[in-house]
Amino acid sequence: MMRRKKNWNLIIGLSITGVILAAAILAQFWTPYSTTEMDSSAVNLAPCLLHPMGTDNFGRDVLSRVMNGSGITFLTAFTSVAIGAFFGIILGAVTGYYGGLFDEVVMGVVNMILAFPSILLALIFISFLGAGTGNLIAALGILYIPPFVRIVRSEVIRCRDLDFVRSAKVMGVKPVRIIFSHILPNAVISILSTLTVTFNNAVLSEAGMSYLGLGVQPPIPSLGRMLSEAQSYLSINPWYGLFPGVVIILIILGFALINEGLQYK
Amino acid sequence: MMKYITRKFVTLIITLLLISAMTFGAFSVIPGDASVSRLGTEATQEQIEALREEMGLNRPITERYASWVFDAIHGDFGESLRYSGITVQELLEDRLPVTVLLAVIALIMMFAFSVPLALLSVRFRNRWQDTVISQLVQVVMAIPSFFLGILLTYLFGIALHMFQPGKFISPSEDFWASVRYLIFPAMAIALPKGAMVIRFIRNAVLGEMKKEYVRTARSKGNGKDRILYVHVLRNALIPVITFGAMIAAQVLAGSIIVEQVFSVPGVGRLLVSSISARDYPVVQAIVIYITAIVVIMNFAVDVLYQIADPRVKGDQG
Amino acid sequence: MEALLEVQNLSVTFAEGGHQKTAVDHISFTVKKGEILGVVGESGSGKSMTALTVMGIQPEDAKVSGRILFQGKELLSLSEEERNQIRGNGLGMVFQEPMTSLNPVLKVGMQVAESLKLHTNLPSDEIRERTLETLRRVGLSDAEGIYDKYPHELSGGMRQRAMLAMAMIHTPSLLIADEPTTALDVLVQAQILELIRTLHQERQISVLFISHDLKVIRQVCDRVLVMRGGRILEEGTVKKVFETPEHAYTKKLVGASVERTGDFRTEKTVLSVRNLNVHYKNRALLPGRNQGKKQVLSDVSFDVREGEIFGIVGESGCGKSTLARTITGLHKEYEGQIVTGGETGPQMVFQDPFGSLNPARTIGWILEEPLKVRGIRSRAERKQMVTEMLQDIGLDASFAKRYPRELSGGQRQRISIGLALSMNARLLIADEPVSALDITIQAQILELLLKINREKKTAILFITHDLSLVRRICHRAAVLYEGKILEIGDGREICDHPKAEYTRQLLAAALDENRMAEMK
Repeated sequence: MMRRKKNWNLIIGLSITGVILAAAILAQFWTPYSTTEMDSSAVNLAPCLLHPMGTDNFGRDVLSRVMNGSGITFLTAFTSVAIGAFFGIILGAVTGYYGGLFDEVVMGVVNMILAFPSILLALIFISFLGAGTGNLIAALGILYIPPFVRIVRSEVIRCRDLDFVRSAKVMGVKPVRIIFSHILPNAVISILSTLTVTFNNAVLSEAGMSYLGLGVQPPIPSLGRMLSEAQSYLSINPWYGLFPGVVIILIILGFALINEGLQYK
Repeated sequence: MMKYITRKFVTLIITLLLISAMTFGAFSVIPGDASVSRLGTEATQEQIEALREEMGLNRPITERYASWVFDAIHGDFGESLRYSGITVQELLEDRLPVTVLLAVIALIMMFAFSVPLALLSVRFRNRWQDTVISQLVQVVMAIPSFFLGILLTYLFGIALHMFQPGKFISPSEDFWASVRYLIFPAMAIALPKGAMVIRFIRNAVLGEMKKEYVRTARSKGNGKDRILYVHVLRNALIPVITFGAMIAAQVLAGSIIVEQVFSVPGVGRLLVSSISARDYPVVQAIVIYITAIVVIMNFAVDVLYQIADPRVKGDQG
Repeated sequence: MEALLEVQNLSVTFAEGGHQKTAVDHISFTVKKGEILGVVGESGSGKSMTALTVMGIQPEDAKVSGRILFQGKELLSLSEEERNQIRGNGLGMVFQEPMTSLNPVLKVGMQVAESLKLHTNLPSDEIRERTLETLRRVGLSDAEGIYDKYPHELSGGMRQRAMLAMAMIHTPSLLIADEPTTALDVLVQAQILELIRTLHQERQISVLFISHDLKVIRQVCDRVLVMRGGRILEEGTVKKVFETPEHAYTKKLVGASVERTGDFRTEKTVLSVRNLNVHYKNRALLPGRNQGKKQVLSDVSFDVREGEIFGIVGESGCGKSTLARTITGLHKEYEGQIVTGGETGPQMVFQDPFGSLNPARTIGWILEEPLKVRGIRSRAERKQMVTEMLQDIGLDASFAKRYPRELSGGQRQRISIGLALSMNARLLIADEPVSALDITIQAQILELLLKINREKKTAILFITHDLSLVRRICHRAAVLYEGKILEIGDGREICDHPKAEYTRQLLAAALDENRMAEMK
């Protein structure tokens, strides 16, 4: 079918995400400088040829740390969203299809959790579990089950009473196959959209928690933590406060644009 | 209607009890209980035992929960572990008004710019005004509030000297000076959330514009403005109410981090420092407070919803 | 007679994927003062777009050219404000779907009164008075009560009456009615049509009446236009167009009646229903809250033999869909006995061809599914069988790669039938299988069902609201009303000599067309 216009949202979104993801993967093998090595002769430098994003208060190269930090951000966000999606999709499909008391109980809990901003719940979880990357992933993973439950459940309920599902039932197709082979392919767009939205929430939560000192722990570089360090030196080295933040914005913008692009018809 | 409200109110109480029980239970199983955090890890077994007895930690958990709820209803959340001798209630009394003030300023600011811009976007839909607003919204939505806070600190605090970062004046001391300081953290919260509001209202209104009743309204000779304000807005308002509650909760949550950026001594800062210091009675009290605010807000929205949408009336009698 | 509305060389096009899509293609026609002009056509004929464009409420991206003269004024050259002066004033409109066409959050009275508020300077108490009067005039006797109600609190028929009141309140010179009765039951439909005709006579309102339904057009219109593909194919008095159609398409449209030939019944019974009772419980989570139950079917008994086409007739809500669901096992709670012969249970063909095929899967995948259920493991064999099935239902093998959204309604309904056949069912339950389709397509689908009945001796339980279909297609039929079978008997006999009072009413509504056509 012919499209009226090019899907610019998708193109730009994929490009931004692609570039940052490539840099983050590259950082696992090579960075311009070591991410932890301090250089007292090059403290708080503004961007220059040797250090395109300048250096921090210990003389570490900001570009190298930003590359590595976005890797951690991607990893945290990806893992937690994967946990949420896996359990959420299964739970949503089953509750939506069968309904009943189990469904009502699950939805009660889901709606309760969804009423709260995720950063707040992440804080509460971390206060039980203690700070750290692993705990953060676990906390976010649990928190991201409800959005998937809700979207998949509503899609399953929408399809459940449609004639094509009735037709499959009359034919004698087994329930598991009806749910996963007949109904779920209809929910792909909604699931993808939830994936991108949740991913962005995870990026925001990771950055926020690390900024508060409750997420990724030093010496591992993290975008949020870099911002909190940069804040103390804002008057002498404002550049340090700029780049990690801009990268967070770009990661989020990239996924938001991909989401926009997916809705495009 | 009354029946519905009563039922929702009962749900509200149950939710509160459930969440408080869950937090209470969770904090009780954390390794290194309150007695350890007060005495330090060096304490002898006898000392710990004695203190546990004194603090009532040896009673069964249900009994402890019941007495905790009883005390909490009377505003008594116990003593802080970190600042011995200071009750949790005293700690909160200083900080709660600050956070509420910040959240209120942020909410007012957010609606003040987002609603007019959303309506502007709708009136000029698919023209350049709409395109500019939509693109800006897309970018602003992607800015984390704490990073925006840092940018604002640099721009208005360090470069333009419009406020002194870190020098917060308490509202009890000088209310307007306090408000003047809070404008900047409020802005950091309000801008990204406001962008979300603009987008939501725009989509809700444009979605309604496609409905068939709009065609009917046009067939009667309604002008564009009358269609928007008389026919469409009330329908679009229904989903916006729910969204508004979610955003209000997020504004509250946003203040937790932004307070940190601007060194505002509010509930958020207290929560973060108490988590780091394992001051559980304080954490627990704050969690309950915030839960209560969120749950009550949702209750209010449910009631508003009843008034705004005639279709749900009676259905859930 | 004087011309009220003159449409000259009107075209409506849309930009779609770089090229222009034409919805209305250079049409010209006239509505004379005091007449009812019908526009008949199938979906995509451009009839509704013509109505919307005359009203000036076509979609924003439509490009309109030509001239529309209303009372001598050229509408297309007027500004939006000037057109608003005419809409709801000289021109009134009634839409198809009264539920979605009324604003859900505004009271009915306010919506009905709006034209008066916009176009007159009457004081508000007089506007209220006239609104109540108009509501009463359209048969809503409890006008005061209805004034303060919301649309969702009214029944479908009441809503359509309110819509009519809304369009009539300021007594327009021309009323445009776009499929005003399509969403309604037969009996209500007859009442609304009657109402339109009386209002037309009383108030000297001309009507542009758009419908896909020939019977309805015949019943209310003086003259008729036949549209197809955006063009007008034929024009003339209802009598002339229906009795001596000129254009080949019109002939097909008018003469599109399929009749069963031959009888392929055997003595074998494929379905036996005995004393079937079904009720829905109002599920309540808390005990004590109304645990009432609603009887949907009571004491239903009948048999269907192999090769038989058995009709179930009734209006919406009579329990016919529940009956289908219970027999196919979708609804499991019932009392009584249902015995189906054969290895595979009865299969279903649904009414809405847009919901009955999985939108996320290809036709090939969809048609393979019953074969997988039957345990045919070989992929190649399944593919082969799908190709054969496609041929059987009158489609070619290339359809296997397409998605349902790429198919027309008729093609989808063919796939639905093929799906049921792939299960080797001895009994097909067809729930209003043609009522969502265009007339010429209806004929094709009925032909297909008859062919299956003839060639495979498949029995068909044919559920419909249309008595004339029963007469032409069914060997035997049962009339279902409020969950009870009123009478059962020979298909032709039930229509020609109905025993039950209700059947007579149904027939009377259907036969109105002839009576009214004779009156003219």
